[in-house]
Amino acid sequence: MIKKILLTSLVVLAGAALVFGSTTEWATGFKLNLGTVPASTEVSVKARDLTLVCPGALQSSGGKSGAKLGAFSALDSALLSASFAGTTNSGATPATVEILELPTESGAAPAAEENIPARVSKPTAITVFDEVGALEQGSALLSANQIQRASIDSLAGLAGAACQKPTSEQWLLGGSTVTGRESLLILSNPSKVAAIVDLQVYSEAGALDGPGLAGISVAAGKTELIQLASIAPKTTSFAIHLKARGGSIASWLQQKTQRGLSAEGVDFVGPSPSFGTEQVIPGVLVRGTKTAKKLIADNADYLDLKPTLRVYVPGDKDATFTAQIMSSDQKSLGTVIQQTVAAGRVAEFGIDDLVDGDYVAFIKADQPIGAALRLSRTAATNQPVTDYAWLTSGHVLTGRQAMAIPTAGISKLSLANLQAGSIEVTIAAGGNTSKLALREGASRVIEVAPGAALKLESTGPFAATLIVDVAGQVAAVPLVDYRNQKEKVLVSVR
Amino acid sequence: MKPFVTAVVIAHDQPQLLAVTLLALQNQSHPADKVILVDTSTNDDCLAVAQDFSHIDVRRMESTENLPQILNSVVHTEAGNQELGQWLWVLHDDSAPEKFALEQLLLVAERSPSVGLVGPKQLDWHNPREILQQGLTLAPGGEVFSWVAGELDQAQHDDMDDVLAVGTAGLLVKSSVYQELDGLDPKAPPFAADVDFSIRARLAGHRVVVAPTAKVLHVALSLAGKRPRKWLRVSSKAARRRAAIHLQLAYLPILNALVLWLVLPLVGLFRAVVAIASKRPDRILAELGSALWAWFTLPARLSSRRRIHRTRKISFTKLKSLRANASQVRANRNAQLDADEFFNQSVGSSAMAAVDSDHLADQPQPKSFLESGAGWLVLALLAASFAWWPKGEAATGGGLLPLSEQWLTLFNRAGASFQNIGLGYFAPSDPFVWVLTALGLTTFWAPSLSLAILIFLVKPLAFIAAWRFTAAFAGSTLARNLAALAYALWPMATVYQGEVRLPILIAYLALPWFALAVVRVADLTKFSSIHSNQLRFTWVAVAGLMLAVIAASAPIAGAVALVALAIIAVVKIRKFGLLLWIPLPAAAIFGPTVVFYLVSLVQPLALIADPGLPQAFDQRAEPVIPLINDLQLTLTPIIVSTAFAAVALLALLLRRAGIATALWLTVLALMAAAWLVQSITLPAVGVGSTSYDHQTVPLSTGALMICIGLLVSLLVAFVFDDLRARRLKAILAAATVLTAVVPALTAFVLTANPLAYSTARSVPSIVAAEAKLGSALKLLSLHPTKQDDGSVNVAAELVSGDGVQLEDVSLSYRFAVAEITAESDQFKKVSQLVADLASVSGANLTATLQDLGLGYILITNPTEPQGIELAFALDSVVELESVGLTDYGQLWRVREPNQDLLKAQPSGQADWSITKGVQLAILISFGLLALPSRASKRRTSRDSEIFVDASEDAS
Repeated sequence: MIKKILLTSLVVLAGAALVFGSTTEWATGFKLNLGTVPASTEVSVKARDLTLVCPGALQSSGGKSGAKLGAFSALDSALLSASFAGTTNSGATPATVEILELPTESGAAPAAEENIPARVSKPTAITVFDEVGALEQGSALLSANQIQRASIDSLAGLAGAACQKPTSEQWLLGGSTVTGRESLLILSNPSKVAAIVDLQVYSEAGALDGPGLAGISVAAGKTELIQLASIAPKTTSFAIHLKARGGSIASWLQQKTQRGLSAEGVDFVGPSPSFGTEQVIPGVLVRGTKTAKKLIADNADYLDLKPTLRVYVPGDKDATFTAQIMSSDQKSLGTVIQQTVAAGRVAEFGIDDLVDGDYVAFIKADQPIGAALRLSRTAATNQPVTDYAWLTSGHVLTGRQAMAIPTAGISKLSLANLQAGSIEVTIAAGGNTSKLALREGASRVIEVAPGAALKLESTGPFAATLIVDVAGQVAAVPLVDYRNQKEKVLVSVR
Repeated sequence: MKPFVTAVVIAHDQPQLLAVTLLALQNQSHPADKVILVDTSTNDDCLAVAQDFSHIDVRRMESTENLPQILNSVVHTEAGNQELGQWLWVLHDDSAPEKFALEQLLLVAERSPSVGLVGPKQLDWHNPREILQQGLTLAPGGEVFSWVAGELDQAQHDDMDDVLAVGTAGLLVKSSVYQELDGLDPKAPPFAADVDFSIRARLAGHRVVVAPTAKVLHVALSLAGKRPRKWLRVSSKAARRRAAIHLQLAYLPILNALVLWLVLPLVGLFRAVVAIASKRPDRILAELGSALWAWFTLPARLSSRRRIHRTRKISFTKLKSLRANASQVRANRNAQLDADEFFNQSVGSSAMAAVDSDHLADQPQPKSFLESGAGWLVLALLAASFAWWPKGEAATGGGLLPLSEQWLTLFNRAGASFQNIGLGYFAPSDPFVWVLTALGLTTFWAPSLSLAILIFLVKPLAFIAAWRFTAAFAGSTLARNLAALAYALWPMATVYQGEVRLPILIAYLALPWFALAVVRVADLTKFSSIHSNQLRFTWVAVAGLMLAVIAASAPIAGAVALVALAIIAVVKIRKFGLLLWIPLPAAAIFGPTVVFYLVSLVQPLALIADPGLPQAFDQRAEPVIPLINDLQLTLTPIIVSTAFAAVALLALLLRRAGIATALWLTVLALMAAAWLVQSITLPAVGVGSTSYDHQTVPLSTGALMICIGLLVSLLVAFVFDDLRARRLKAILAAATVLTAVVPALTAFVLTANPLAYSTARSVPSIVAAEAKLGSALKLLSLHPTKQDDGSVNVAAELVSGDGVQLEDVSLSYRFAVAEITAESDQFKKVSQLVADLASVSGANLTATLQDLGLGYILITNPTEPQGIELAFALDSVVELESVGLTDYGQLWRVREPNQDLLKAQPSGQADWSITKGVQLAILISFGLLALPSRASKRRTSRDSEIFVDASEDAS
């Protein structure tokens, strides 16, 4: 029996030794690896060919009679200005550019490196075809904008827009659907697949809920027009969030103002750059403040002639912002606004006390915000008396940039330094080169010759907006550096 | 007048028997007038014996001469010398006539002048009360059939006279008849010559009769296969079969005979299968060999027919009344079985009593499964499994994927050497697919259902299996029930069920059956003795199939089982011949895989990887004890396993301490092996949407844990079987129930069922429907995941036809995929395509999509951020059109797929290969052997002996 008990204890001991032995460092550290896991392949994909879409001619609503609901017709044509640098340094196959009116299939292929002035009436896609993907994309490769002056009874003023790269998500800050104001949402799908667009509309009261917001179908190569009043009637200020599935889309708001029987201003509102705690709005070129004041005093409907800042808070925390409207030439003093905007809401703030002058708005907030500014131009001699332009926040630009200047009107480029230190911007146009030094927080306005192919090169980040003035009417065209990136994708096939 | 009788004795290497025979011949009441001894021995021993007797004419002949040649030559010589008597008396060296044999034979001959041949009543040499043979006839199949055999001689057959044929041992034949018929036919095979001769005599108008009063003691060495093989040239089984075929070909009408000859090989094959089914695998070769022999020796049969024709006076059909009909044959066979059984039972029970009379004496006869209340425990376990009730046709989750909807697809996959994985893959399919195919056959109309049901029944089935196994070692009802519960509720097994580790669970259910079968075959325990060869073959087959199942499902357990088998074979070396056959099915289904792993992959250790879906342990907490790392060792399993182990330890103090020590050492060895196994990590790229995330998986110790479980439950059985003190036993049982059984059962009931039950599809219905219509287009399944460094990795899998089902999962592919994808240009194309899709490069993809034969693209995780992003990208690809969200992910259709592949017709043909044929033949053979035969069924219908009880589970 003793033998048996001894044996039992031996077995118990051996078992315990095994179990606890396996927890020792030596035992846990012992590892054997059999075979290899297939490594993921890193695959480089050439950047997608750069396509820019321009909205085409202004849409006049109501048909010929002006009273037909849901009927739109293109009003003449817009002046398209585009610059294209189609050769590569490496000497690879030169790229070609194609200008395609949507939805027609005919295209022209200019080979020139210079300005491409053309008149377009329909939404138009300009694509640079680069078979091998050797070209670096950006505004230096392709940059386009359009302006159009309207002067019919129901639509008058100067409208300008930068042609944009279609994306699957956009924010539009601007527009109003109160009496006498019309917001027309333009959704353009240049891709070869249909796009389904979902809208979220935010107003001063927060998110709007209503029919027709989701599942707006835009057929491949087609453009859809939507009266925002049907979705958000009698709303002073909007922020519109667009999400597209399928094809990517380009979007604008065509905003027009009518006071009484006279059309008094029109513009395109383009997409805002990404939201953040710092926003800079260049191109606040204020003119005719005295006339405006007089008009406002006479008629409350002119109240929106004041430069107005629109702020949207996308997050779920209220944001407090400080907007410094700073002069670009030290001739005039700016002003400062400090306000709080509730989360998820849009708010507008009129900017008083600005004398005529060139300004840039520098906005800082404690939460990410989106900001845009409505700039009115009033001149007693004009017909109509007023026009306006929606300025989006400046897109961050670095390195080489290019911009085609419209052949009509007076064009002024407002530049603002976005970095903490100073930068130097080299500006070349039509053979003349000049250098511009910008201190921290500084901005400058330069006049550029009509039809010039403007080339910029900066040592640091900056923002720029072109303000075009045709017969006292104003339009704003931001300079945006659109590019598709080369991509690297990790793939493990099994 | 006293007739002149020439006795011819044929001797062949049996001097002792010959001496007795010659002595008997000498002592005849009516001595033979002349005795001729024909010695065909290989040595001179028989001659030496003959020298002790006088008046014997000894002649030497070549040992290669057969009986007809010998007799014919003797008759020829004697006739030539004018010394041939009226009667010829043929005796073998192993047939000793009793004193009045010749006298009685002659008496019968005298009474009827028409008698040509007279046969004696042959009695068993060793048991002269038993009749060995008394007249022969033909069964319907042409087999030689003895009217009386194995019966005690109580003169009950002494009224017999006319028969179709008589054997040559003790045959008295009229010399004139012999000469008229030209003697025995030398072309007839050994066992047919005598019957053929008798029939020819009958056909020539002579009577063939039996003289029941003339008795000859006969050993029947040839018939029993105890003569040297040279004598018959083949085994006695083959010789018997040859005789039957010969007689059929010789006596059937010529047209029938030719038709029979034409289909002989098929008949041979069919009879071989029947032989397996009737548990006579030893007859396979005889059946096949004889059929082929007869097929190739047709001229000899035709010459026999001519010989018959020469002397024939009446038609063979006239002899119908002398032939046996089917019911007579059956009745005779049943009578023999009964006799066997009577013998076996009396011997078996007395042997059992003798083995352990002291132990069994104070115990009641062990109770059967139902009598012992085990049925109620099974019901309880069934009730505890309610969460696993198969709510749908197919279950998905854990290690389960649906099987193909068509059982034939499963069967095609089993043993295949080409697999439709990725871009096509040449390698043997996993042996596990055979297991799935077999399981799927049980619910052939919906193969996936079998898996869902199996998972539901795991606990009850484990209990039944373990009960049967422990019953072979323990007689006590308590021991059997508690031990079976210990196995069924073994905590590790519960964990595996919670994770649905299908292969391990299958091995878990098969292991006790394998162990039981081996115990039976090797006669390891007192309860396991079996005395019928047929039953033993059944258990060999069960063990073989179970080993195949275990090895295919959990190769580590297979290795353990093989080692155990080897040890048992050494210990029970007498059973080596039987045990040797057990690994055959496993070897058959593993053979190609082993070769492939060793030669092509050069990954020998990969052989022990678990098949099926790779299952990581990531959903578990940090292991408490690395030794058993694949177990989430919460408190309950530790308590339960410790409690069972503690009870099992007591076995070391009791009667069977020796065996217990061996078992415990095995347990310790298995634990050490478990540590080693868990240190091995395998690359395991997941195949099938449920396991894309897995890249490496540690080897599972599960197989070893269930082996330990079985050993512990056996030790528990020992303890409760051997413990004499009743009160102590009761206390111990109560403690076991409280500390182990109840917590384990609670843990099991609380184990959540991770399975989702649905239809058996594994791809969206539109894809499945197209595949059914014959589309050979592939589905590209994408699974984007965020890496640790923030980059997105897209796992891409090319899925054929109706999707990745469990039988499509290939272990070897997981090992080979690194090399395959790195080398193949097509795979690089796939990578590029995936990258283009993911980045919306705008490149024209139609050509690539067509070249790769893609019809659909699926994102398997469309609700995760990466999936949403990828879905956006795919939405904007011109070449694709969105189909929408399906149960399996978000689906896109290729707008312009490869038309040739789209319209490819379903092939529908099985992928056969030689290896698959061999595998299937072996598996079917073992399956037929394992099915309970008529004999074993008859046994079970009798009262409940333990060993009888278990045989019904052979199915």
